[in-house]
Order: sequence, then structure tokens, then C-alpha cells
Amino acid sequence: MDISSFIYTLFSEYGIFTFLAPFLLVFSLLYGSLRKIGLFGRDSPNKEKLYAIISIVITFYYLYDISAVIFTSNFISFFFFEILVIFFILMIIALMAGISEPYEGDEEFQKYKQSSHNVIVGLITLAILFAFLYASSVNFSGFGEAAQNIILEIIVILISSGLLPIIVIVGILIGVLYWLFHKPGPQKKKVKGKYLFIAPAEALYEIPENLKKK
Amino acid sequence: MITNIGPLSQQITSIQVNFNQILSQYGIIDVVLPFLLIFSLVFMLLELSNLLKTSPNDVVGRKLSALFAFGFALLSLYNQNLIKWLVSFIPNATIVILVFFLLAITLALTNKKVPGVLRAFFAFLIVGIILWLTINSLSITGSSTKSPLTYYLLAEINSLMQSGILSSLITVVTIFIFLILVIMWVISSGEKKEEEEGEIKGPLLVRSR
Repeated sequence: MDISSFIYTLFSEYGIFTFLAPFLLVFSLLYGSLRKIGLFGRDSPNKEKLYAIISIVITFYYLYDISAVIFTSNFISFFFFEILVIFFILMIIALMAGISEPYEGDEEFQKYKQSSHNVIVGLITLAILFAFLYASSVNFSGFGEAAQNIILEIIVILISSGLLPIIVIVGILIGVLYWLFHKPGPQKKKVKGKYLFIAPAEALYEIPENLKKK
Repeated sequence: MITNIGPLSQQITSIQVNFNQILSQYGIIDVVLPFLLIFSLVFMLLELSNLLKTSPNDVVGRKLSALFAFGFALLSLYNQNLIKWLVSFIPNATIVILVFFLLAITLALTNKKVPGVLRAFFAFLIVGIILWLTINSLSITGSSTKSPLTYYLLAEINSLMQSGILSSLITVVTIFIFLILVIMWVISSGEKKEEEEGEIKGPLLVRSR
């Protein structure tokens, strides 16, 4: 047995993975959060002790359910991997930012950039969802199979019941009717294709710059 | 095919094997390196966000951040898949960093900064490459064997094809869509011409005549 397997077995046998690590994780999170929020005040040291007791009790309840611990392990490991991917992206983007000059746009471009920034933040928060999906499905082939079956089932029902051609024809008819009877309102501003390409990229370049300022 | 490997390449191969053996034998690849990476990244993020600190100089908060990162790193190691992902992803991502660094060096020769559009292209290229590497290292695929539903779907499509319903339906829908597109194109080009004619061009004095 090589040393890495020995360490892994030793850690598993002595409850490092199932007791110590999850305890540290959850306890520090709960205690730190309670201290920071100061839900029952921060005026006396006794309250800090109470926060510690509350955190320990909740942590032990959490540790009592081993499946929750395994779920957490899968969840945080995948989440870390996503963080690592974002870290690599930001690192290379920061490198490229040094040798390129930012696009100086007008006010409209700044609006596009702000919207793109919001979209990027939204996409980054999706990392949590992906990690949760991974932890729920445990392996990707299982997750892929389940997703495949759902899509195929919908297609099969649509074809076998004869709904698919009806939906297509009704959709086309609705489109035609809308096009015929739609009254054009006040002229909307034209979307600039160039901005749609450059603004998200500029928002990406801004993320490492903002991080540096912190 | 080269059969005669020179002594230098043999030496390099043996050194590499020994180095790799040492790395994996003593748990450096499986335990030490991932632990250090996870701990440092998570601790850095917590310090950056000040999530567990009541004030910037809060010592207890910093210790709690360190404890959280320690627990996070240990618990992450419990999932052995993570080690596989890291081993597969990090070397490739490092090569990408190297490629872009060399590109930066080459562009520095021109003594001019990259303009906005090209800069945007590079950003998308970086994101695309890294995401592609991620998917490769995670090997996100469906099942290799066909599910019963796939067979059912294929059989359904086959029977429809043989009976000629599907092909006739597709033909009708395609013709229908084509006709609509032609009508829309004809009408919209007329509208554009009208707009162009209605547009004010040239100096005001000339047009007022």
C-alpha cells in the first residue's frame, strides 16, 4: 500500500473525513456567522460563549447524519473545482488586460457593460446550482442519463400522440397572425451588434481589476 | 518508427518516472498539493470577502476563516474524484496560461496595445478554452449504452419514415416556412425602400426646393 492510500485509509478510519473536517467546517461557519450578525447582541463575552454553544449543538446534529456529510463533501469539492476554473479564467484575463487597451465607448456602451456585468455575476452564482446538481446526482453519467431520458420522453410523447405537427402549425399560425395585426409602437433603439460582442468581454476584464482594488 | 532511443531521452524518461513515483507514492499529489491549493484559495477568498470577520482587524474572525478553510480542504479531499479532476485540468490549464503568456510576449514586440475588438475576442477565447478543458476533465457525458427510450424513439421515427408521414410533414412545413420567409422578405424590402425615400439627405437648402 502506498503512502497516499495509507493516509486516506487512516483519515477515514479515525473520522477525519467524517467527523473532524465537517465539524471544523460547519462550526466555524456557524460561529463566525453568529458573531458577525450579532443576532442577540455583542455587548458581553457571555453571549459569545452562547453563540459557541449554539454552534456546537447544531454542528453535532449535522454530524449525526452521515449522508449529509457525504453530500457536503461532494458539494464543496465540486464547488472548489468551479472556483479553480474561475480563478484560471481570471488569471489569464488579467494577463491579457495588461497588453491591451480597454474599449472607450459612449454612455450606451457603459449601460451594455453594466448589464453584461450583471449577467456574468448571475452566471457565476449558477456555480452553486451546478455543485448542488453534482452532489445530488453523485456522478455525471447518471445525471446525463436522467436528463437524456426526460428529453426523450417528452419527444416520444409529442410524436406518438401526434401533438408535434399540431404545435408546429399552430405556432406558425400564431406567428403570422401576430405579424399581421401587430401595430408598431414607438421606434425602439437599435441594438448595436458590436456592443453586444465587446461589452461582455469588457465586463470580464473588469472583474480582476475590481478584485485588485479590494 | 523510432526504435533506437538515445541515452539522454532514456535518462529523461527514467527521471520523470522516478519523480512521478515519488510524488504519488508519498501522497504529495493525492493529499498534500490538493490540500494546500484548496486551503490557500478558500482562505484567500474568505479574507477577501471578510465574511467571518466583525472588523478588518478581527483576530478571532481570521482564525475562524482559517479553521473553515482547513475543514473545507480536508472534507474536499474525501471526494477522490476531485483529485482526478485536478490532475487532469491543472496541467492543461497551465499550458493555456503559457500560450497566452507567449502570445503577450509576441504582441509586446509590436510595441502596440491590442485594440478593443481583438481584446474582446481574446476574452471569449480564454473562457471557451478553459470551459472546454473543464468539460473534458469532468467527462460530462450521458450513458454510453442506449436507454430503452432511445430504442423506442428510433423505432417510432423509423415507422413514421416508412409510412411516409414524417417526410411529407417535413416537406409541407418546409414549404410553408419558405413561403412565409419569402413574403416577409418581399414586404420588408419594400418598407425599407420607403424609409430610405422618406429619409432627409443632403443639405437642408437643397432639399427645401
